[in-house]
Amino acid sequence: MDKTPSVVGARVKRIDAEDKVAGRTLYPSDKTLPGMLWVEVVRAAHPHARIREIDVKPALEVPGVVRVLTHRDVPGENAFGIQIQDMPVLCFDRVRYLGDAVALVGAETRQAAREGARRVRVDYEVLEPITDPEAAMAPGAVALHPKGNIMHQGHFEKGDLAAGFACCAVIVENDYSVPMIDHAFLETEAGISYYDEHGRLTVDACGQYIYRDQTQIARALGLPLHQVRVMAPIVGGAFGGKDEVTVQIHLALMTFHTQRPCRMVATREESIVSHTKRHPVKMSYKTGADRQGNLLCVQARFVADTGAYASLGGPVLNVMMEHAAGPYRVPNVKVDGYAVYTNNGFSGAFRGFGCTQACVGLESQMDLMAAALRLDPLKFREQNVLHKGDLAGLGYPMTCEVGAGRTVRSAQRGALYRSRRRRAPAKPATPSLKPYLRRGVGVATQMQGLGLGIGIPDYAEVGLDLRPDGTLQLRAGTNEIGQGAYTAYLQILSGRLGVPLSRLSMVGADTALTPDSGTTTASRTIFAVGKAVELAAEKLERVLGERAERAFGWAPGPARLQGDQLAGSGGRRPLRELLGDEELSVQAVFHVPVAEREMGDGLPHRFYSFGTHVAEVEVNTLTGEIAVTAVEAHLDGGKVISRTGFEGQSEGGIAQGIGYALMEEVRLEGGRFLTTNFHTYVIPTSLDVPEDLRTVPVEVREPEGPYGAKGISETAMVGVTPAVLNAIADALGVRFFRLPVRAEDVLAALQEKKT
Amino acid sequence: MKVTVELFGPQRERAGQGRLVLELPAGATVADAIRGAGLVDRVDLWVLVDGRRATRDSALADGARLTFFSPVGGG
Repeated sequence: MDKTPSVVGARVKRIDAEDKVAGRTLYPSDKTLPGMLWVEVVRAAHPHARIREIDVKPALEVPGVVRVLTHRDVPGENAFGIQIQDMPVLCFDRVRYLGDAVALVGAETRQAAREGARRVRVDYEVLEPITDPEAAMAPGAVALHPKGNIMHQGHFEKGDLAAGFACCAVIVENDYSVPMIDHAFLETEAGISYYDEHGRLTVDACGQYIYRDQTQIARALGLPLHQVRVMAPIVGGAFGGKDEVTVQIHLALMTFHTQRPCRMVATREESIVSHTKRHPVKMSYKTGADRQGNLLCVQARFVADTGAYASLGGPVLNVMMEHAAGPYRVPNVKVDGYAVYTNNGFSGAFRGFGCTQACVGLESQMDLMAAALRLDPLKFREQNVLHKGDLAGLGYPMTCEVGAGRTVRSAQRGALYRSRRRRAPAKPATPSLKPYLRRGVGVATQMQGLGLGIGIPDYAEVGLDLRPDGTLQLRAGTNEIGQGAYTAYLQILSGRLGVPLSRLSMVGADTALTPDSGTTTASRTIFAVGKAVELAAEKLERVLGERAERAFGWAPGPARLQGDQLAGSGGRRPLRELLGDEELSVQAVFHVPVAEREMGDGLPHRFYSFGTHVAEVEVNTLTGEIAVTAVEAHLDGGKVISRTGFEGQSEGGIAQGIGYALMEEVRLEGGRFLTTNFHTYVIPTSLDVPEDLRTVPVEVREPEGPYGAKGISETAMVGVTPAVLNAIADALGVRFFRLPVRAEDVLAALQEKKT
Repeated sequence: MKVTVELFGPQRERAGQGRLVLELPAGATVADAIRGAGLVDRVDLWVLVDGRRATRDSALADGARLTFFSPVGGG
């Protein structure tokens, strides 16, 4: 029975909006405790060096310094990392990037902690940093880890590439380079730690998966899980950058040794140097199509610089390879990928998770092939998109609902694409434009795997507490990192139970209070946790019905809540007559179905979201400046649960995609960061984002999801960057193969074109 | 009683297989199943029993479906 009421899909006020706007919400960096110590990290002085000796005595002489910790003070395993524990909690013999932690200083004031950190003496034998991934892969290269520098590799082949290329009328071959970029979350890594009233070592700090963080802390401190409590309900942005542990183990370690509450707040410089980044990737694409415009071949090679440690570099590379052929039907595919250790920071999860990089290369190729075939770019895409039942790039069947084609057709109908010839391109400007401005419109289509993929259980458990007055509390272990998921969960709950939002509340992300709902990543929360919420609602009605049958003699069947009343086959009764003064709690778990065949860690996915972006740019040929003047996003995230959240994700994704295309780059020289704050690491502001933003839901419902919803958070961003690149090419007749495209790149390219 | 164990990731590598059937005495717990599988108990060995997170002292019933894995996923 579809009980969709208006609250599902509606524009509703976020449940956290008022407190955030009024400044009442406490983020991890806002929290303080009486008697707390400030904790500062002594980070590596060199991107690659051997540690000869660490002398903490000078730090201990600083007034206010209480404790200095080194590797000798790590009681459990001195290693962490989501997939491979190759990163020391505190380095003991070697440092591999500038963010490596060598010592921790706990002091009564932040000033004393900083001074103490400055005075810790570390004697290094400086080593040559390894900064070129290709060189790091070469035989004989100095190994950064025991198994060598190739942290992960994958090779996939489908069909007969040579025979396929022999049938192609058009073959396009190019190299692309995409940079390391920072998540630029507004709140840097921060949190507090203390012993709670039950004696549990408690860490209240930014993160994206409390239960995994709990495990990483317990492993490093040699504690059983039940002695560690982790919470992180509200986080000031993450985008994947807080998926790996940041401050959590360090906080716990200092509280463990001092028995004092502790606090850490990273500076922006420390944040940029220390946390994971989007992998910089060098990729080669060779693609071909026949004269009728059928895509026949995709050959791709990726070399991803994963930096000093693994984190999620392996799964990121897998997703990159999984999406190498995009949302297209391609009979002949060959993909080779390498994730390589270097001393260039370290890379990991970031919105799009590898798909983002691949999409830049592939969608540029799609435009180039369409142009060579003299086909309309969207028609070319429409002709080749996957449909349900088709084999995806790596050869597994698409068993989910596939909305790729519908997003393309939606974009074709959109005002921006229909106006593209009138508006512009690659020839002397239209009369309405200044003669030195060129306008262009570009498109990109993509798909994005949803959830963790095959190879590890991907589940979400939630709890639901019904009070005798008919109000309900939902408990879910995922974090609110700004995406609005908590509101969407309650919309689903409201929809399924017919209870107004005003009678629902939410407790999030606390290992002591909330069940394990899985990660707050991978576009999975609405899909996986939302489905668990649906199941919990159904279970509650079933349990209420069973109890009413026993208590009131009602006929078997579910009972429904109506305010503080219970309604069922026997009419209506006050809920309190059934529950007395007790709460009724139910739990429900949803396991995300997986693909039939495993091809690697997390590879492939079974469910995907789809999208087609259309971007318009205006390029100043005198100054080289590029302005993105309009973007349309045609997104298939299944049924939209929260229209406000859907549009918010889309608009944020557009801003982030523009940043990746035109501005952002973490620059390093010899393993040292040159861009350590927002003066040098430039991100888009509101002035860089066009007023003309349109988000069009293309609701291809996925029956496995709640109300048919999927996820949207990554799809909203991934296609934006190549759409902007394609728009620039449309405007100038010049294509760029390296990101970001800056004004000076435009001027140099135009100069080269003239000569 | 008989229980089945499905293993993923590092646990599968350590056990050398992806699926086990264990014969355990009545009253056995998750900790007994870990020992029965020949695995060293670690804090990062997570266990689901019939799809839900379980602790080491969770009692097992005949026919229980156990899942051994580590939280190595993200996104």
